[in-house]
Amino acid sequence: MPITDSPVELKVVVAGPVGAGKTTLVSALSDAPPVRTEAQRTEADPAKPMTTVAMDYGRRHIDDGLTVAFYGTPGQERFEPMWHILSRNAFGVIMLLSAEDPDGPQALGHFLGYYERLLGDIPTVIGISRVDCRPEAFDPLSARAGDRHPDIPVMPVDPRDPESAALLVEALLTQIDAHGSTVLDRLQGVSGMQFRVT
Amino acid sequence: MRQPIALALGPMSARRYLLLRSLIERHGDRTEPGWRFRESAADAEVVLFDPTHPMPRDATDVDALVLPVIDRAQHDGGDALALPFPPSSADLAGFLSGVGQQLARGASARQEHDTPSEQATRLRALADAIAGLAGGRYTTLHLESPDGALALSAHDDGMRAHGHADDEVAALLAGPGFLPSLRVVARNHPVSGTGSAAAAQRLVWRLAAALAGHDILLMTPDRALELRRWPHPPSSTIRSSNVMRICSAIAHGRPSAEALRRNRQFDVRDATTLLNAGHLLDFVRAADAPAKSPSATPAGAGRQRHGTLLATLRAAFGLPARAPS
Repeated sequence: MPITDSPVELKVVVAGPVGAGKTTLVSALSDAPPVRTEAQRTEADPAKPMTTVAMDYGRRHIDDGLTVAFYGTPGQERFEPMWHILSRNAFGVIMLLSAEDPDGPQALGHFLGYYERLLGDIPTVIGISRVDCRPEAFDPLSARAGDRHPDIPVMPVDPRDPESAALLVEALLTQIDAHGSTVLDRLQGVSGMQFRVT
Repeated sequence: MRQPIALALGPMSARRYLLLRSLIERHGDRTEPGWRFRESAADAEVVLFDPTHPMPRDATDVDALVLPVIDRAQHDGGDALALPFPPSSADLAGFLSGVGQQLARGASARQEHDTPSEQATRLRALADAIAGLAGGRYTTLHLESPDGALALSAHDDGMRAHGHADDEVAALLAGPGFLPSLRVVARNHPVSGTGSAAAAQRLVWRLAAALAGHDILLMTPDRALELRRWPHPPSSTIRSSNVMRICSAIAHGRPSAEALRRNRQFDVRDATTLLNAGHLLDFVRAADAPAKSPSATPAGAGRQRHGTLLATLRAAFGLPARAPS
């Protein structure tokens, strides 16, 4: 267990457009019901009458004093400042896109630009939901990401399935295995904190 | 007189399992040859499965004829090697008889033709034809085997399979003799329908795995690898966590195929499968230049600094532990 005077929270940001499944993913990755802040949409969309207007917050208890927190951020561009704040000191970033979203390639391009400006050191993974509904959409999205950043994993995910969702976490941990984590280095360096797992 | 044929059931609902087991046990002695129910797929010559349930990896590796159980509403009456559910007594008798004949034909064909090297040669020829389709040399391929025919077509966003529904392609591919017996009968002929990208990918990944089973690597072994995009393999073909680890190793290290196959972090067969599929689907390319020697930077730097914590995180999310470097 970690020896710390105060609880440690490793922050994972879950971002993506409306309807990609962020709220569901946060729920699947959490071990308690997440805090949700949903409201009725102003844009008419019978398929998704509610949407996230502030953020979702869920967490997974790891050990005494250590949790992984998942912050689902609003998909709409007007909430980008919040996205910006949340990604500071993030342990990892999960970008979620729906294979059925006709604007998916555009949203991916927007995210990759953001990645290049701000997220270079943060382990990142792109999850594509609803691939079973439109399997032919996966390769073009993956190729678009691969053209600019082949090192960012692009994976199909079913946000309803905890095992599938956990593979996105594995993608983040695999990157930390290889390259380390500035967040973990900082936590251990600044406070002199040592993680000891029994 | 032939010995009774051993039959097992793959993953399916409890209701289906109990009903089918009861019917097979009741009818098993009334046909020639007879049928015996087995608990484990590893002990069976025939495995029935529900295409809506994923097959465990070990179940797809068994050397058995694997056949689908399909909802009656979706069952094509002409397909003698798919069992409608719920089956009538006549359905079951007809199905068991057809499968018995299929096994007899397969056994005699195997006795006449099938050696591992011949299988490998045929798989290699099929891979070369599919590489030609992917590379733009052909627009379509028409393929036939004694078990069924299908066509492949090339598109800007990948390959499509024509001629069967996705679950039927899955059932055909699950038969151990299907891929080695598949041969190209026509190129560049028209195909019907829009086709299925998922079925085409499933075929290519199964072929990649079958080639790996013969230790055939389709790529030049000493060239630096380039990951062009991340793939989406069927879950029954390769474990997702291994896909991630192998692709990460290619993306970050640009190793040679041979170095990747020597990496103890993942199974050599999984690595070979992924490289073969990468070659056929063009998501991994071998560069013209040889791979460089491993970097002076120690691999797994994060694991060295935070290994225990990372292991704890994996355990908390139910993820498999990583093998030691």
